[in-house]
Amino acid sequence: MLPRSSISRAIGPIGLLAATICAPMPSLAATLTQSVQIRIVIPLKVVEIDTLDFGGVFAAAPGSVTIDPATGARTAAGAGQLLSPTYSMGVFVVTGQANAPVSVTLPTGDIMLSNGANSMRMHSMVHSVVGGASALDALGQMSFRVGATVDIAGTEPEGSYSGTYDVTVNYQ
Amino acid sequence: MHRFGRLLFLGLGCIYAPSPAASQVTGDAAIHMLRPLGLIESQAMDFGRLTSSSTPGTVLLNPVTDARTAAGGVTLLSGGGEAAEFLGVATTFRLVSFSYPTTITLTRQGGTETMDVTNVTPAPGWFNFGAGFMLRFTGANTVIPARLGGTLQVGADQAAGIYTGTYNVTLNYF
Repeated sequence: MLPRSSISRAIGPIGLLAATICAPMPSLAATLTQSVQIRIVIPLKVVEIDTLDFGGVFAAAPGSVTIDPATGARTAAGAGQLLSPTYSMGVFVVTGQANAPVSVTLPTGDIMLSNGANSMRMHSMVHSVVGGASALDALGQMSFRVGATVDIAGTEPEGSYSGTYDVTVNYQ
Repeated sequence: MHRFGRLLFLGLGCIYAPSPAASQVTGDAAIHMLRPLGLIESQAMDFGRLTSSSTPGTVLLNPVTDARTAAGGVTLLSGGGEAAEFLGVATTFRLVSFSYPTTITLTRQGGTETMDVTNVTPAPGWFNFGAGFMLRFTGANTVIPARLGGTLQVGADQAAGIYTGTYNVTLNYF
């Protein structure tokens, strides 16, 4: 017969061994299944389908152009602006675990659009999930649109100003 | 015994390492600033991705809708399909003309193989005289869009790769 303290010392190293090799110990598993939550998750995948393109803008005075992803509308603020007929929202498709709720994160700061020499400020980025619910559907799919506002000084040289922004999608 | 249980818990964690739950992608944004009596390309003509076969084929690119239609031995793959778009701004009451080539030749990057875009076709909104020349009258200050589609001629067993080409367009303000 060993004293109690000696038994503890003997079990200790066995416990460490079990932890290292991850071998199941049936006598202990019953008490531990409640504390280990196993979730097999299909990794999320996000693909950009369309560019956030404000279209052609002529402005002689300061103002801004905004695209609302909920309505798809493009609006101009400022005097005497002229807009080209075509523009597009940013469009993304997400695939992953069916029915899983997800969150979409867009940049909260300024994104600079540049033509190489000059830049313009894009801000107030917002998204709108097609169908409303911020969750993947029964097929594990979701689509969302992105809009924002671009500030215009009215003195920008002619040309296309472009930039990139990061979109992060997370399981909730 | 409490400490023993915690150690085993950590041990199980090493088996069931969770999958990465977040995904990130880079989006693109653009705005096209116009000046009076200027001209910019706001969208490049793009026939997207497609495959060739032993039978020649064509891809028709609609100048209004950006839609692609394949014929013959061509199969369209997802992604792409954009008509060219050029933008100018006229001051009040002007006659403007737009001229463009009716055929554009594309060459494979890093190679010599070519494909032609034939029957280059503008979107409506102009008086089209054919042969790559059209006219339009503007009222008050107006953004002038000119969009071009066409028909891509894909040869039998056309070599795989990215085909690009350039062409000149002219917008005249009278």
